[in-house]
Amino acid sequence: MNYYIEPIARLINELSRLPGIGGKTAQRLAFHIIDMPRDRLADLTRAMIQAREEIKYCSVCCNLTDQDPCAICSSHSRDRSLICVVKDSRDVIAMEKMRDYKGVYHVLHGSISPMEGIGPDDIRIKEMLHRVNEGEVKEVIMATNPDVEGEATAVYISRLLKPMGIKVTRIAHGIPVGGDLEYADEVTLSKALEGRREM
Amino acid sequence: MELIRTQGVVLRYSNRNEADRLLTVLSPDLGRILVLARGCRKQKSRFLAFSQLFCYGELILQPYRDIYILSQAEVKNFYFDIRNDVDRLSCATYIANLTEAVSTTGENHTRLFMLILHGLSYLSYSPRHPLELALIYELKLLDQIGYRPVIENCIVSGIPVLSETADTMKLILHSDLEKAQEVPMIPTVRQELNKVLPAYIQEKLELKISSRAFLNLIA
Repeated sequence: MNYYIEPIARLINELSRLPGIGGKTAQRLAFHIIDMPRDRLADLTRAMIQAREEIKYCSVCCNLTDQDPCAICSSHSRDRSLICVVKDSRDVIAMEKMRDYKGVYHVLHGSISPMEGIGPDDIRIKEMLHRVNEGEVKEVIMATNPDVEGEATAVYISRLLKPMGIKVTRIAHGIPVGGDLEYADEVTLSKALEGRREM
Repeated sequence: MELIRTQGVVLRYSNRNEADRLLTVLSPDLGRILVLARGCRKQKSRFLAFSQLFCYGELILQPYRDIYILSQAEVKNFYFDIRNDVDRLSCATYIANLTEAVSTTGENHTRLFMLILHGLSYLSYSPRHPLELALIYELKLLDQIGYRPVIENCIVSGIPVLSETADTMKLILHSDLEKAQEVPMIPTVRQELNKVLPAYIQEKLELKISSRAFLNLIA
């Protein structure tokens, strides 16, 4: 038995295709949207369409942007000799929230994963090598995720960059702030110990 | 419901919801099973370490419908060095995919489990070319599941090969796991085995593993 009339069923179906939205949440959102004032609904749909149409890739760092080059790449206060390589645009946001990093970024839009059929040519490695070849870069920080695919990607890129005389560094692994040593696995502990520093 | 204690190696994962992962795990006594690791992608999750590819550990599982819920996990080996080389990662992915394809749910897979642990160990610690390790794994797996190639007069199940290739295959198949890793392989044999074995697997097992394509890049 179909509980919903056709337009609501279609809306719930579309919403439930979004990541992290299950059937129940989709239903709640659908009924909330139906109850919204028309002008707010128009703002919401306009914002969604604009975001989709106006966003493009920065020609320098490959991050998502509405202007080319992006705000970070065109900023004069940024150190262009330092590039932080991340997996996707969300990682740039995470790094920027820290407010300590003054270099620029390079977004790979994925990591090497034979399991998913993603090879080195499927992510933005060529663009990064082209950038490094231009000569301004002194250090590349590999900030890909510390998982199997992220580590392999970091090692692969570092092997390409090392012969070019570029300093390649990897973000530290260790115990998270507020974490518990008791629950830390042996690799994390050994990496934390490896990366210890004098106090 | 009763908890089950077993061992397992992660062959594949897929992300679910905000922070969950559905792991495809090979267990010696349960076979190939699906294990839901709830909240494992959160920074402080106690399942964070185990829910990664190729991770081998001691597990406590709770059966739930036709899957299992991960209740406790103690990591025994990450095979960490596999991630330090894309070629090794490609080979490890392929052997995990192949093992997943030939394994079944609810059956005792102790020998297959030992074989994949062995394969991952060698890919992690051995200085040998990873493609050679993957080829040895393929042969040993075929032998174990009852598809040992018939090698006669330089013909492997209808496919003509060099005499050196036939000899190498015989040596690998007649050696135990440890000794098989020491069987020398000249580059021409490696190249030929890299052509013959996928063709054999495709014909006899009707399997085409997509990650095999990555092995041709490192051949």
